[in-house]
Amino acid sequence: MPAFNEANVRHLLRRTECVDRQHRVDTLMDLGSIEAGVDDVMNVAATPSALRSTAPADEGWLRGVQIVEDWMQRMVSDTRSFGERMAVFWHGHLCSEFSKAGGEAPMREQIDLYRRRGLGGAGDSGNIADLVKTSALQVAMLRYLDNERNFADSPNQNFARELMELFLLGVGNYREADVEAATAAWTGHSVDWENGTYQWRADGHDNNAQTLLGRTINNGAPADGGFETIDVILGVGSVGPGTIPNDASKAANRGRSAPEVAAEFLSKKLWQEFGEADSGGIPSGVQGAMRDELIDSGFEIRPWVRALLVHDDFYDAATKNGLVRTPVDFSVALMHATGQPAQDAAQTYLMERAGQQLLFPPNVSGWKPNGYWVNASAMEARNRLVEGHSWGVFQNFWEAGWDERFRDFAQFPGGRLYRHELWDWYGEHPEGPPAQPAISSVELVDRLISYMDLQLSLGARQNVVDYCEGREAANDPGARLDAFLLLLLSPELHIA
Amino acid sequence: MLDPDISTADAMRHLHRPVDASSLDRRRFLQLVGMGMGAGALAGPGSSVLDALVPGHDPSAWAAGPIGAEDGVVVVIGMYGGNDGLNTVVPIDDGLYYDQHGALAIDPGDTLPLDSNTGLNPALTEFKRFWDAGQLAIVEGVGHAQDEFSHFSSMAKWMAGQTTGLPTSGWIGRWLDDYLGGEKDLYAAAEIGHSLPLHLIGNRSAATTVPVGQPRFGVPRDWRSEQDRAMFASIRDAAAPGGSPDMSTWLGRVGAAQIDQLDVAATLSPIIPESEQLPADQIVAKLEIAARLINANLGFRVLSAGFGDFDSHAGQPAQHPVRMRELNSAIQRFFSTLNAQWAGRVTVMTFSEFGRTPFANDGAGTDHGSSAPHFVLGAGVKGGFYGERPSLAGLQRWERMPTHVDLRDYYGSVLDGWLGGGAGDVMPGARTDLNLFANGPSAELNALPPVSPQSDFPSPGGRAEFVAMSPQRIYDSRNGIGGPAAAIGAGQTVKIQIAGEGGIPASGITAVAVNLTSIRPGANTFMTAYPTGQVRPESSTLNPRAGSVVPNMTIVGVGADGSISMFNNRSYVDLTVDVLGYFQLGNSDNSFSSLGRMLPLSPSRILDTRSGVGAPRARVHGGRRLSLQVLGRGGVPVSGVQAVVLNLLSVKPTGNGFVTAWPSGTQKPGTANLSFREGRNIPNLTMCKVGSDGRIHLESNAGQVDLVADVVGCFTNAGQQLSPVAPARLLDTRNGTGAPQQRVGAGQEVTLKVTGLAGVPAGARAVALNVSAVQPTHQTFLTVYPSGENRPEASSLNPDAGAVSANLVIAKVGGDGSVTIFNNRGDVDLLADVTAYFL
Repeated sequence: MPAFNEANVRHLLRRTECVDRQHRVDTLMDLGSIEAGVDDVMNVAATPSALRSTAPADEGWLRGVQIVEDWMQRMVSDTRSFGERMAVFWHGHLCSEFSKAGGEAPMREQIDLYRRRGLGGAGDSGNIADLVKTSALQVAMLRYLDNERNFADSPNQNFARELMELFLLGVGNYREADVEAATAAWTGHSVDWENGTYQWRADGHDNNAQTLLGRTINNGAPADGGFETIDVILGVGSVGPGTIPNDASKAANRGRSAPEVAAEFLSKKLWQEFGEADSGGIPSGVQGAMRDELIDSGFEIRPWVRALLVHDDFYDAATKNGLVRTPVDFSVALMHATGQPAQDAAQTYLMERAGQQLLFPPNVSGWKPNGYWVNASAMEARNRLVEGHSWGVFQNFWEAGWDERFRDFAQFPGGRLYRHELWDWYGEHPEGPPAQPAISSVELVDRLISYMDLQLSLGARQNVVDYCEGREAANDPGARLDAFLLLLLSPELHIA
Repeated sequence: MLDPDISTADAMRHLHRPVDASSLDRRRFLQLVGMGMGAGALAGPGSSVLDALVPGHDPSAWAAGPIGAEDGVVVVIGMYGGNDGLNTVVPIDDGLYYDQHGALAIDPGDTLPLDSNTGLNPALTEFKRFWDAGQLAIVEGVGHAQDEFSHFSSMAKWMAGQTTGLPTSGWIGRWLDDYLGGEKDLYAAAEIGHSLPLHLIGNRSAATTVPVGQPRFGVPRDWRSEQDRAMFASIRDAAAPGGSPDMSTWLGRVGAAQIDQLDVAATLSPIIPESEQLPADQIVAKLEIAARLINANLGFRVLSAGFGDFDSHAGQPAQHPVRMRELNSAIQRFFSTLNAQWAGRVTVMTFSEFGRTPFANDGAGTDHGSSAPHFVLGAGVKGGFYGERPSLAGLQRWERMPTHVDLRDYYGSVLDGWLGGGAGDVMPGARTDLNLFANGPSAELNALPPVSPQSDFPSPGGRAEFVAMSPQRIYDSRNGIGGPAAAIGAGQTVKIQIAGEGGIPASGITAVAVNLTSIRPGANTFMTAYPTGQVRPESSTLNPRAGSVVPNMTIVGVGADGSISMFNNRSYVDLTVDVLGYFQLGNSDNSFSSLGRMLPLSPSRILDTRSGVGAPRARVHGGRRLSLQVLGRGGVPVSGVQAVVLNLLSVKPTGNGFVTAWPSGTQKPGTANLSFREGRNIPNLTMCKVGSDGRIHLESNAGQVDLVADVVGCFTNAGQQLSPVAPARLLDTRNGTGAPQQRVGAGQEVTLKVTGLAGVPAGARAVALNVSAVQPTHQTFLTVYPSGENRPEASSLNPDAGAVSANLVIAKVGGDGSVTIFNNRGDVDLLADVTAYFL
């Protein structure tokens, strides 16, 4: 059983809600156990409202930008935001991409599905089989992986292949013949060219029975053939669980039950999103616990996620040090620190350069962890994201003239920093506050840390104090303003 | 970026193996950085960028530059998603290709024929040129034994240069492991992009990443260089507590990446243009950067760049030709950017994770295939076909083509032929050298002269005369006039057609006078207007403020295609464009046939409703027309005047609204010349046609406002003709451009030389300047007037404290070729960009 202490609570919150907000830490510390904390984190709204955009319907690009801004804003603002973070996971796993999916409306439909069913509200678990089936017949997925043009006389393997390779089972656990069988079973699901809605094309369905992972499918209701591929892989429904073929290239899995292999594959993927992505694998303890929950529950999501979050492996040192914040996580943390809105703080082109533009996964395998984000080029984008917060924070600071300096302040969520507190420009002003010495660098840094609700090591704090004292010594006390940026540029802010 | 996938195979975790940067030898790049690099310097042929940047640097110490005179450079282009080889190198003599590829097949007559059997994709004209010069090798049937047809596992094998077992490192990475006797170098190999692909990761070293666009963070800014240096030093301290980052943790690796970022930014910022100035197509931009990195001679031996998407399961006819055009443009751009002395030392090669199925699917696409042809080109390459064309005979629906050249042999031939050897060590299992090269790398090789891409700076169209129009809205992003009904996004450039629109002639237009109005951007930003086809200038035309409506008029050159371009820097913004008139090529014989020549005037106030000048002393009420006599006032002749140039100023309005100006005797148009905000003093230049009775009308749409107008010129038959120039910054007091590097104080003046600079000739009589005021300490006004004359009672710009505001100024030039800018109150930084002159 994981130890109940503040370090573990903060770790849990950083991974599930992007940031360890102080008020959430306080809430969880009152609950008395990690398990109770996990239940609180998972107690998300059962039906979050749809993502919003205000731009007219024909401004597709802008609408896309706005739903991403709205989504990120909810990750920052919602008291319990884990459902949103789970949706980001599914968005990177059961991928679609804005351009190919046909713009904002199909993408929003898919993302809202992941937001509502990707975890499920308390007492209302999402289910992986249902999620994949629903997503598969949404316009975004039908278009993104070309299933809309997969017909009996012109099969297109794209969706069926990725369903097995990337979504549910993993490469090497099936044969080419299984891809062809699944492709045939999925034929006939299309998108109406006229109005862009789902359309069943019975005339395009391949009615021949197929053998997938040793099970016969596609011999019942034609429109159910595709769903049966998921039933076989996950062992749900009436067809019966599949078996990894004896000539599959992954020798270790030959002859194993497909649902077990799928459960391990999915568990590893979730572990690499929320646990650690250093080992390239998943500790056997937590994998076993997660796999068993999936098998026992018929691939319900909540018990599976809970098994990860309450497991000792999730709280060990290797896990705590094993993830770099994704650009989305990092931006959410910055937005919490400065209170700046997403449209200013997470600009699309900088998110892209940092490596993660929501709605635009780089390919069907989604975003990669850790090393993918940590290089000179991506770091430059992250540094510029930080820099981008300064305008809004300092807007009031620059606005008024020198003679009104006592009204000039930088605004943070936790408080204000006045210009006259940093340095005494023109001496005492008759209408100003009483003259007072500028605050010390130590006080300045501690106030900024508190105003921005940051958790930094003493070393990181001292580094910024040293900078400020250096600027004082150089007779440039106003440059201590940059302490705010330096705090946000601390390497520690990049660790999840 | 399509990297191998961690989730597909255990093997792929190696792509994410942290790079042990502490083993990098930092001596070399510490030499390169931290020595006060100035901006803008570029190395010429035969030298290193260091020569220009390092005070006291002795070029001879580098001999022929940091890399040896006979060291070759390889540029690797990844075509991600799986390129259709059959539609790239087309087997025009093979009926089976036409049967199997069906409607996707390219007719023989449409290809660029190489011989009687083979034609190139019609877009690949640059490749054809290299072929004709005997400098293009086409290696056919390259691949590996496919089993899974997965993007990710196949890409992993290609990137690894390894066809069996777990891919643990990349082929270039392993070459890098032993490069320079194992001495590591941050500037030996680079990926131009945002993440490091497997082929550039070795067992003990890894390439660096170079952003697509000038690194901005990490370069001290001129106006606060001391503070920036102190900040960067602090970031370095935080990144490496105790002296060096702890590479066993992500915290340490993040720190190391921070240090790399600062180092790379300092080194590369003089070499790489800003992203907005690069070509829009990613691969073209990346190869432009590759050429610049080679020209700078920092030591790069391998540069890698990727693009996509080539995964054409559906809609291939709309997709593949575009990829081919991008590839061709990229090659053209690369060789035209590369300095001639390097052309004999560079080889370019392509790869992709697989070809595509010979059978088209019925979705007008092709599925994951197997082998494909690849290109190797450059001055040292021995042109011709290599390998073997895979046969299509006997293939069934899902069957793929055979592989004839192992990808290891393909890579090995380049390593041995151009990178100095090592194929046997780097690529165990490579057996056959394809002998792709006629010569080793040498500056002496007879390189193909490059074809210049479309010129970035078409010459201005000549001297032109003004034709005033009744104002007309030609673009409105809110409702789709003149373009899509969509706000302009961050970094986005929109093209606005001028020639042939709304009564403007379709040809002979050199410049246009437009009033631009930005509407409620998501954040403060700036916009730049410039002639389409030119490189976007380092200037700003308009400074939209969050939540506000900000206008500015400009005179901007029209591009060769008859349009202007509008760039928006950040967030998103709506824009309207009202055209006030256009400039068309004038008569050179001075036969006074038109009234389109500008007579510049010293500014003179002809309207001030606060004091009863030109109109009753009363605030102007919304919806009530003010009729203003302009002929015969303020130096404007009493007749023969087509239009006047006025600087309009709104003073302390009671609400938000706009003012419309139009010629008397005509219908009021639905346009805006000056948008005002409650309580603010906002100016804007306008050009207004004069009615037959010598008057113009002014009307505001809301509230009450005082209006002031200063006349600065008029269009007659006796004045000067206009020539647009590429917009250029003449004044920037923040960095000492055109004037001392200091803020302009209260009551102070700046005298700015405007002739003999930026394409403005010595005899110019007036210039169009976009003047910006940056964060004045007080609300103030600026007056721009001819040097040597008495300062008139007029204002050109009325900036608010703390803000950035801009206005176009038509400035008559004083006797010494200068204009004077007066600041009334507080202190302020000033910028001025010239867009046109009158002569």
